Amino acid sequence: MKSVAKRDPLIPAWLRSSRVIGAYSVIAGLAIWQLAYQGLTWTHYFKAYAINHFLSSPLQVIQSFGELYQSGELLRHSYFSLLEFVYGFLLAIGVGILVGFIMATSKKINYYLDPWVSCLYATPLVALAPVIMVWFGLGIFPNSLVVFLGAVFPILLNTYTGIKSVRENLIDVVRAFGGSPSQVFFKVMIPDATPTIITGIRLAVGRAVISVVVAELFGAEAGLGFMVYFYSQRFLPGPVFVAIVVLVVFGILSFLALEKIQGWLSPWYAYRLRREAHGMELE
Amino acid sequence: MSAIGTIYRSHEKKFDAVISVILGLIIWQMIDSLFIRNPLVLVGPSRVAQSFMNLFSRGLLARHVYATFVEFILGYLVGVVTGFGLGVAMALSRRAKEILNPWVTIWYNAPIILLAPLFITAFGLGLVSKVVIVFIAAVFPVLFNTYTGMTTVDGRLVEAVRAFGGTPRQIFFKVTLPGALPLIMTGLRLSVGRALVGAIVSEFFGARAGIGYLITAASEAFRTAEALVGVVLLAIGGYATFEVLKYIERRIAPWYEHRV
Repeated sequence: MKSVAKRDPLIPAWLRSSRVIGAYSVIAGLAIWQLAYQGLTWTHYFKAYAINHFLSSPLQVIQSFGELYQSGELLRHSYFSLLEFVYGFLLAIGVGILVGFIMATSKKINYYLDPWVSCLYATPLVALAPVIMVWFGLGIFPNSLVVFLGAVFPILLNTYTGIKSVRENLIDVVRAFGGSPSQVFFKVMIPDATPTIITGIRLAVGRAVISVVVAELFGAEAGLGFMVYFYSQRFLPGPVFVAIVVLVVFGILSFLALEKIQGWLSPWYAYRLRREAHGMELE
Repeated sequence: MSAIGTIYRSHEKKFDAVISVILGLIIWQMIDSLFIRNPLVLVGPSRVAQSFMNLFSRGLLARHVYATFVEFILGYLVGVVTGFGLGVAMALSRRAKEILNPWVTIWYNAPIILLAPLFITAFGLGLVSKVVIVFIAAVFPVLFNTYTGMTTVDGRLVEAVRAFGGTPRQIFFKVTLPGALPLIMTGLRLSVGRALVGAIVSEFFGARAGIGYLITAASEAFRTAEALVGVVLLAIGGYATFEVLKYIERRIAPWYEHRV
């Protein structure tokens, strides 16, 4: 115990909240990055190792963001990536929920599909991207297929788990009061499984974004992944970082949006959700 | 007949799995040999097996698997240790948590694979660039799960130990760490998948050996069978590590309820 008397804190409380400290941390990190880059430019290593060919500074990234935005290149690439993402992801949601539901309700089908699903889930399916390019050629469709493969299994497995873990006593109650099978389905199973299904969809977002990028590396005429590859091969790191920032922002925004949707669809789950939101990946 | 029926019914799940796999392979083979007879488009399991044996006997397979394995294991181990350390630091110190949290969120959600081309230009085609990518891919699931596990340990247990005069050290080693163990193991398992993807994708960009290299090199030359050998190897490797870690998880923390 150093001093018992309470002093007024030097920094007011709102400046010490964890959100503001987080913002400081990000700003400080960016500043360190910028300063380190500046410092490097003055040493002779900078020229000797051609560091500006693979490292960029925050200011340069902002500058190349402006250039790419004005020339319309960024929007074109983002549009292509977004299309692939949306097609593949919607297909994954549809198929994942349907197959997951069928597997949860029919034991026989579950037994037959289970070895395939668990094996494909453990496989890094981005490895199939080059093979898919060979089969289906270039363009939006094969890339969407890679996104589909990347995203479908978390959704499928979470739908399966969600439907399987619907509380039996709820179903019994509805049935005891004369509920029809369709009522059991729509009033009990769907609402009870929704949070788990959306958790699966949230997990799938990250995988889908990676799949978009990897698919575009192999064969594409446009897209953010194509942009990364194109500029990194020309040793221009600025645009590469721009694409990365766009994808990071997209990933985080869709993650937060799905968290909101989950809160609307199943508010009773919001508490558990908040505990799990920080990274605890459900399977 | 009834004896077979009883055996079948008592192990229905396993039998069905085997039947399903065999049926799938037969259908795949039939499509290959009856409908699409173009080896550029589709190759059946027999052709994949053939080219597996071919690669194996030439010693190429061992070389590629070894290269990927070294990248994977180095990056994974460093990533796991770092992730665990940072996770513990974030769970124990509020300040560390506040400073690290935004960065961890950003990096965890970022498609880190995108950095692969940059790392390759920076660190070259060799081992270093891949290990760095695998490391970044593997570190965050462990970090997050260590943190979540340590912060969600039942407060009553901590209080009980403290009430009986437990030191902070004892609380850490006897309560918090064992309590967090199941989640940490889950993090280890999730990291395996991400690290594997990291290793493969970094090999796509530029490598001299490795399963990812095998897949790209083969598919660019339209040797689809060889590419599929790589994919099948990954499937087996991924599945095996997944199951082994699941088994360890169950042994270490049998009280922990598994979700799947």
